[in-house]
Order: sequence, then C-alpha cells, then structure tokens
Amino acid sequence: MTTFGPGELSAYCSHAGAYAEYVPVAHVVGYPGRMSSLSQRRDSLLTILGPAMENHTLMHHTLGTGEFGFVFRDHIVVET
Amino acid sequence: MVKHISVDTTVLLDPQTAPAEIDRCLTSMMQQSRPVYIGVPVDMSHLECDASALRTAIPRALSPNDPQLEEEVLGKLRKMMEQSKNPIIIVDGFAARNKLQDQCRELSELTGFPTFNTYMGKGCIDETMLNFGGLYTGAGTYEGVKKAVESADAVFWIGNVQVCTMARTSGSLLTHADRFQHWRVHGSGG
Repeated sequence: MTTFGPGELSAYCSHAGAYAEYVPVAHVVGYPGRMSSLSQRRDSLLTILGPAMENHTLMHHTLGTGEFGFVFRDHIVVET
Repeated sequence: MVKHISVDTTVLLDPQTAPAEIDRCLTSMMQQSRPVYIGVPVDMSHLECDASALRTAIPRALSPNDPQLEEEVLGKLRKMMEQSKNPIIIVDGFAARNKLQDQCRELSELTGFPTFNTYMGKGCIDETMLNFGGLYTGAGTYEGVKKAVESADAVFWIGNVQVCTMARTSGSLLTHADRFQHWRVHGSGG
C-alpha cells in the first residue's frame, strides 16, 4: 500500500521485480478524491480533498499539470 | 508506465463497479501470478458498496491445458526420457513459484535421474535424496557438478529462470539455447 505519485513510483522497482519473478502482489494506491458530485459531507475534511481529480486541482504529489492519470502513460518521449 | 509491470490495473471511481473491479484484478493476480494495481480515491474508502461478491472466493484454479498441446509435450518428454542415455533433472526457481515441490520430488524418485538445483531453486528439492547431484550455477559451478550437468544428453529443466550468470558463461547449458525447447504447461495438480 502506497500513496499516489512519489510513493508508488518508489515502489515500482519492487513491483517490476514481482512482475519479472511471477509473484502475485496487489499494489493498493491511495488517490486524492474523485469528483464533486460524489464527494463527502460538507463538514468533512474530505470535502476539501474530495473534488481534486475532477477539478484538476494542483496538488502535492502531482506533476503540477492537474492530471492524475500520469502513471498510466509512457514516460519515455525520445529514445535512441 | 505501471501498465507495463502489472497484469491488470484499476482506479476505483464508482462504488457500483468497485467490487467487480477489485475481483477482476485479484483474479488476474492469482491466475497469472503477477502484480496488479488498485487505486483507491480518498473519498471512496468511506462509501458503502454491495458486499455479496465476498461470498464467492476468488478462483485460484488454472484453466485447463490445451489437450492437444499437453499430449504433444508429454509424448516428446516420454520419448526423450526413453531414448537418452544420460538424462538429468534441474529444479529451478519457477518450480517453487508454481508450487511444484511434490511433483518434482515424485518425478525425481520415479525416474531416478540425477537431480540438480539452482540457487533460485534452493529449497524446492530435497538435497539429501540419494540421486541429488548438487547446485548448478553456470561457470561458477563446482567442477564435478558442472561436468555431470553439462555432459547430460537430455536435461529436464523445471521452472527455468534465464538469469545472466548462467547465460553468459562459456560451456554453460544456456549457450546452447538453440537446442532448448520451452513449454508452458502446468500439472493437473494446479
């Protein structure tokens, strides 16, 4: 179990090792909140965190682009 | 990038579909014995979802082998066993990963073939068996063991892990990779 962004990136080395050596591992990643329509009660702390993904909030642990799916993209843009 | 090192991925965005998404990932994880990725948004952890799927266990049995392929492989193995003069067995790392300890011992006992292991296969075969020959590690192998392994005319290499220490050494078995035949089938025991 890791955090979103830096936490999961640090775990990818062992995650890839488990892939190479056929070890069943469930990597559970804690994400920021999803979207405003499904966010929690107004009095909750989660209201502050809740709409982050839908609103493309600039958050700690992100690349500062407002995008939350960056770990699913390929990151090598030029290769030789 | 995480998709390249996972057999399935999901980010749970809907409590209606979350149980099925989790089950799909865990099933892939067990059947392919490789990592999966499950993202859980902070507000999802407080929502309720249908728990009825918890009554059904994640399937762990593997799908059956292709019968034609299985028959072909068994025929080839049997022929190799009968025709070779100096056959050996090597028990490697993925034998343990596939829980083949009992089957490896049974094969070794039934055939009586000299049986070796590798450092990744350590613990998978009983090293006190009379036909246990030693540890094979490519060029760094103890001389007598190296000679015994590399003079075999048939090698039954169970759970082969192609590691560089064995592949890049002159005289090691893996330099003759063109003579290898690989099969990915599993025993009926799962």
